[in-house]
Order: sequence, then structure tokens, then C-alpha cells
Amino acid sequence: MSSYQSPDRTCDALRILLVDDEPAFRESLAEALRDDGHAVDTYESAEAVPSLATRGDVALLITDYQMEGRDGVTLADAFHGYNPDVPVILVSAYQSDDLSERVAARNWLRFVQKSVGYDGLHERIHQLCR
Amino acid sequence: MSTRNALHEIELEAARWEAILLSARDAVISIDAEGRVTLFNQAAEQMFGHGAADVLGRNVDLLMPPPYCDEHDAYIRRYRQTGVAKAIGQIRHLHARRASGEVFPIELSVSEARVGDDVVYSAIIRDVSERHALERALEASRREAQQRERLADIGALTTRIAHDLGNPVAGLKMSAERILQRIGRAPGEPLETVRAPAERIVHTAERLNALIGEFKDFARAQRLNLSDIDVSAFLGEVADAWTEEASARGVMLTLDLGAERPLVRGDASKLRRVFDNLVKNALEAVGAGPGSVTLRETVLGIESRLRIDVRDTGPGFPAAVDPFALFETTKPDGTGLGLSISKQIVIAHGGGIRIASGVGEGTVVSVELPIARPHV
Repeated sequence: MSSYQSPDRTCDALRILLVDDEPAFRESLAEALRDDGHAVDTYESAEAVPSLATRGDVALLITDYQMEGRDGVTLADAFHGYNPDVPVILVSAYQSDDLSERVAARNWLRFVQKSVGYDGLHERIHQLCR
Repeated sequence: MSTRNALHEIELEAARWEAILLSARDAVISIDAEGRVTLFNQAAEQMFGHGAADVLGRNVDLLMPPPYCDEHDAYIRRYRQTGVAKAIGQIRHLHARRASGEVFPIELSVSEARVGDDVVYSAIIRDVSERHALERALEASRREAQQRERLADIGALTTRIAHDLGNPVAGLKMSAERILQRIGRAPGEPLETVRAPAERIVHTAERLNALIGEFKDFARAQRLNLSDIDVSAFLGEVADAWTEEASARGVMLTLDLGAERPLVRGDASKLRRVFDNLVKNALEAVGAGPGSVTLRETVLGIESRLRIDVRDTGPGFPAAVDPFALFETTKPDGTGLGLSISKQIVIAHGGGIRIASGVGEGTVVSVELPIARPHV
């Protein structure tokens, strides 16, 4: 049987910003997170996020790394500058050496490989809520 | 002018010419109407490695490699009969032969002088082997630079493929998981609720297909990974690899190599693919034996080209079949891709490939490739 049988409520309902230019990944993840009770705002690029100023309502930023325009690390830096206490998860299909270095230089930034799928991401989100 | 003064003038004139001939850096060689050497200056001695005393009075064809040496007499005769000149009055790029047997590239200009019934042909010859070597070295370093660039491109391309394919694949997985979630959490829900992720899977798969098509186009246009290939050794490796298969079929596989050991600048693994394919075809053509497959290497004289024949004693095929056409095959289980890919590879090497075959006559596939330089 699938492992998706019981909705998980250990995390409170969060407001999550989700930024990714890959529509299948973005929309499917957003739907799954909404099913878990979260409020999810989706954007297809860093530029499409309306404001990065301090967002008291946002509990988590999930962003893809490689996108048209500004990349995910640049977006994360800007977001983190205004919201130093809000966790950020960077996702990518491919982990280059360059990306590993940039993540390692930011102890507040979590990296998750996209191939782990929903289970893996879900687990990381839980770890951040605890 | 007295006779004595006139003689003195002639002597002076001769001395002037001799000084010029002595100090000239180009070889100057004169021949008579029969092709016999009548003048051979110091530069000619150095260039050809013959002393003037050994050459004077002998036929000039000893300074020429085949096929010129065999044709020169006939050429002079034809010129004297028809007056149509091939060499006189222009600079020609040819090859000459030193006493050591070494063949080297030259620039040649020939002039003609007549004194009464006598005729003298004089040639000024410049050894351009150093210039050619320089040009080749330049070309080689240019190619190496291109190759380095190419490797950097491959690194960048690999990263792009990993990302460009990985991203939609992650999307596919997330969409499929989404469908499983819906099914798992609310088994009674209408199927309509999984329509959106299912559509995303279809669209993403279509995008992936388009991407794969682009990568395939790219791979087709790839440049060659060049190195100097010792063709004789290369063909030996090909023959070795197929010996077992041949003897299992009762087919005699023979290798017929020349003495020249030519080098070809090429992509060894791609050329290997070509000859593996040709030998495999030839063995399959012969079938269960008896019969033979021969790999023959021939250096084509002055053209700096090499021909490699793969000959089989199989049944041959009818003229109506174009063996190089994509997907065309006379074999029940063939894809018809082998020969057309082989042709593309050979053409990419600046070479050519052709087939001579007839029903009942066997088949010869001839591959021609440019020679980089003779093996040393």
C-alpha cells in the first residue's frame, strides 16, 4: 500500500512560498501540501514573487535552484535577509559542485534533491517544524 | 671586339652565372631533350643528396617518385610533339625523391631555352617540406585546441542533460505520487480529482521527448575525437578481434598490409566501429563458409590518400540495392543502420566509401582516408 494513507497533522498549517519553473513538480507538490492543510503560494520564477520584504505570515520558503532569471540561492539570500528566522529549503534535480559549495556556505539553507519525491520533502518539512 | 676579348666576355658571363647558381638556395637542374641532366647546382646536391657527378648525364627521373618517374619521358615526348606544356611557365606543387628514397614536397618552375636545334629545360626547385611540416603542426595544434574546447563542451553538456532531464523527471514522479495520494486518502473520490496530475504527466513526458530529440540531433553533429592512428596496427587489431568468429564460421580472414605504415588523423573508436561493421557484414555475407574475407591496405601514390578494401567472397547483392540508404538491408534481421552510419563517419574524416558488388561476384567495400604523414 501507499504510504500516503493518513494525513499528517504534526505540523500546524503553515503558509509556504513555493517557487519553481517546472510546472509538474510545482503544482503537484502544492496540491499535496494543501491536502496536508498548508496554505501554498506558487510562483514560476524568483521575479514573480511579489515582495520579499518581511513576511510575518510565511513559515517556509521552498525554491528550485536553476530557473530563468535569478536562481534559487539568490532568491533565498534576499528572502533570508528580511526573514532570518524563516527556514528555506532549496530543491534541485541535479547537484553540481558549484551548488554544493554555495549551500555549504549558508548554514541556514537546507538542500533537498528533487528525486527524493514527496516522502523525502515531507520529512524535511517535519524536521523544520519540530 | 677581338676574339680574345669576346672569349673573355663569355668567360666572365659564365663566371657570373656560376656564382649565381652556386649561391642559389633553390635547386637548379637543367636537362636536355632526352631528359638527361646537364646541370645540377650545389643546392640541388644538398636537397637531393646526390653529387652532381653521379647525376650528370643520367635521366632526371631518378629524382622523382612514382608515378612521375615512369611518366616523365613520355611527357617530354608528348610535349615536343604537341607543344602542350603542363609544367613550363608555372609554379607546380609536386613531390621529389632524395637519394635516401625519402619523398618530399616541392615547388617547381620550369623554363625552356632553344639554341639552334638544341633545347634545354631548366627547373628551379624549392624544398617546401619544412613549410609543410610547420603548416601541419599549426593545423594539429589548432585541432587540439578545438578538441579541448570540445571536452569542455561535453562537460557543460553533461551538466545540462542531467539538469534538463532530471527536472521534468522529478515533476513526473511528484505528479504520479500525487495521484497515488489521492487514491490512497480518499478511495471513494471521483476519478476526476486525479485528472490534473495525470495531464501534467502527459505534458511533461512530451517535453522530455522533445528534449531527447534535441540531444540526439546534437550527438549527431558531434566533432571527432582526433589522434594519429597507425593504420596497419589498427587493421591488425580489427582482424584480431574477428579471427575467432571467422574461424568458427570456416571463413579465412586475411590481412594484406603495405610496407608504408601510414598514419591517419582520425577518431580511433569511430573508425573502429566502421571496420568492425564492415568485417561483420563481410563475414555474414560469406555465411557458413568456405570463403574468405580480406582486409587490404593500399597507399595511393601522390594523392596522400589511403585505401582500405574489405573484400568478401559472398554472394554479392543486386545493383538495385543502395547499401548506404538508411534502413535499407538485405539481411532478415538487419536494421540497415550500420553502413549509413559508417559512411557518415568516413565522410566526417574527409574520406569516402564505395561498394562494388554483383550477384555471384562477392563484394568489395573500399574506404579512402587522407594520410596525415608516413609513419616514422
